[in-house]
Amino acid sequence: MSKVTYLFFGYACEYVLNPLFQYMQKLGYSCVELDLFFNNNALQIIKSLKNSHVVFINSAHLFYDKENFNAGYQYYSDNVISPLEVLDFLKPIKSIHVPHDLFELFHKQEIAWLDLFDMIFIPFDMPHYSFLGNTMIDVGWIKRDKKIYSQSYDNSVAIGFAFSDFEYHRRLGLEKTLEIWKDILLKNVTIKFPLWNEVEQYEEYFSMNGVSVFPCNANISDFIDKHHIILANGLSSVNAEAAYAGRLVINVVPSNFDSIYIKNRFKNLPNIQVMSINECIQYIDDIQKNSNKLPNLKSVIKPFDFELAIKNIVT
Amino acid sequence: MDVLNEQSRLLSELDTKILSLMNLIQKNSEMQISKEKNLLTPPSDSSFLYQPRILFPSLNDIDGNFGQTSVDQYHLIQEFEKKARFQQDKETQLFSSFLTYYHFQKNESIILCSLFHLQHISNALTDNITLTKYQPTITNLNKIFITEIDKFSKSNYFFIINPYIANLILLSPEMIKQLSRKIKTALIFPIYYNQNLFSISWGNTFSSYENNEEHHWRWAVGSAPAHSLNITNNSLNTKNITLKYTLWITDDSITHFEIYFLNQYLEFSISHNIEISFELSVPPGNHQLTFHYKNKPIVNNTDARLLNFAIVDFTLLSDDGHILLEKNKIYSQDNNIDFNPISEDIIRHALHGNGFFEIESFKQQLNPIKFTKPSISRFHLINNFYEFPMKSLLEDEFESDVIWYIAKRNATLHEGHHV
Repeated sequence: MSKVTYLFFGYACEYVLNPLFQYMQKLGYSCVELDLFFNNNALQIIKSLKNSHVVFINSAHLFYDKENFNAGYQYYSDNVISPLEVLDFLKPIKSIHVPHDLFELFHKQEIAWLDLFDMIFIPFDMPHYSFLGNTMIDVGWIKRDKKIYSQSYDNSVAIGFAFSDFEYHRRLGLEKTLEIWKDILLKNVTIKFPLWNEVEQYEEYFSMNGVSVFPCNANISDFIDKHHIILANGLSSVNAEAAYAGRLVINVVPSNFDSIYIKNRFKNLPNIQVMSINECIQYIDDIQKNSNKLPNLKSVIKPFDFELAIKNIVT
Repeated sequence: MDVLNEQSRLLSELDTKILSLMNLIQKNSEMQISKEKNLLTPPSDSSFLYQPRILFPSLNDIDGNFGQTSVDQYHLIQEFEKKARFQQDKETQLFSSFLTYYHFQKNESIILCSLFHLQHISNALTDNITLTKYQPTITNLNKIFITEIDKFSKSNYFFIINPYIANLILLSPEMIKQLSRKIKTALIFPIYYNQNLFSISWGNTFSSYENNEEHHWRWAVGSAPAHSLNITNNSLNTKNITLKYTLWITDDSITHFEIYFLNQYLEFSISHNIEISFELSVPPGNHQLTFHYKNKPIVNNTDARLLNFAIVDFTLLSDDGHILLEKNKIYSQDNNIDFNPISEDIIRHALHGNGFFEIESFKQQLNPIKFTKPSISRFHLINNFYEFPMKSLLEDEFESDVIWYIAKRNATLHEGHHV
């Protein structure tokens, strides 16, 4: 067979394949990375691969073409291309879907198209999805590239806020967003924004206002590992990633959101509590004075097995 | 597990037997309708007669709710099964004409779903295409389809040539969902195009359409005692309509009529031309309105036909008094007409909600063969589907017979599409 190109495909913080891309590139495979958030000539790159032997590795939601992306995020991006469009156009010799959200691996509406991929890389054994007929490979969690070490304390409790629902807050604006969250953030809490459109403005504005900011492009696993407690908002993947990594997760629900709905969605997740902003502030005050109250939680998440993944990609 | 499978098989057999029994009961009952009831109202036990005992996949599974009763589902399935059996010539015609529009690529695989064994159909395809024929079991297809298609491995295309089998499958979201998992590229099928809510077709004992400046009519001719016309409800639900017409009779003596429609019945005697109006409850599908006429036909000086009676200025009114079908369309159809109750919206809704991302559709005229430009819709997270690119779907360009659907699992990469 002639030369095979490995195409890694996704969008912004939902593109989680960079560690795998780098790993394979270092091993000498011909790899092309298409993060649609950064790449303005994705269409040309895809066209250049037409009639080549392509292995397509995707972490984007399957239904997000331009129109659906706009419907999902209320944000129009001309860069968006659906993985289904790529599949149809390139007709890859092999296709692999890698979910990017540990809390909700597949959206309900997405399941209808999963069978179009030859393989799905899953973070743990999921026999109940066998009806799809794909080859499900348990390779660990793609966003966790190293082992999780047990926490140690130096008399202080490190608290990190893995911020999400960014599009909603982007529409609220810088000042309003800070106003909502500042009482929590100014209690020595470090925030990490998702890698998304206009995020730099938020990092800069929050820093200027005395908030400790963790770089948005850093690996989320590093952020989780560096903190004893992870605060989160919304239903993002980090809730599950931190909880499974043995961190106490506090999902903070502003007063205009439905906390019963959020509690219900998290009912099967370990190590997570849902609190209002005021409850969270009280909890932080308490735990920072009494770090011995911090529960000793167990990690259940497996790091990504690069060797196993590559073996399945290239054969 | 084996015990469960065995139970499931026995239950399935039992359901089939119950359905056959119900059919027998219904037919028997229709033949013995009480003549004591002289109004066109259903007998009180009609709900029992028409209540199917088997469970059809729920149409309510589709967002937007078809809103049918189980009686309507029963009529639809019966109608589709019946119509599907008379499509042999049309299957050939439809498939051949489609091949003038669409070209399959080398090395692609097709499952060809046809009720008939059509050798020449497969010959129309090139040698480089892997063809698997699937001749479905039409009776109770809604129950066995999923099991039947489970035998096939995944193919590029699943091509349903028979429009009524496509209709049957489109009634069930579960069938569509399971079917989608057998398809890599696209599901292809034709649907007859019919814009009217109701259609009328006249049996062969009615002479051809006649009219003058004031009236439109057809004569019932010949020596047969019964004369029928078909009323088709092209919707998914039972509709209440009013029939209005004038009966011209040829005999000055008392003329006795009996009129049957499903389990509704009317009898009366007249000695002169009379305007008649009555309400009918019409389930989805094609149903006979039969006139039993007991007098002898006459031959007059100017017309050699054996004339019985004429149905004049036949009108169909909705329950709010609107005319449902123009006069020229009421009188013009001689043969069994095509039945298409499943609207554009419902078809797209059903497919986009069950694994088909992009649907290309186009209208076709069969003679001479003409196609419209394709229109495309795509799955939408909120609205189920959207038109792509932004233009109205299926604009009329000529009188069409068929709409073809190419329901793709994937999406076409379009350059420079802007919302």
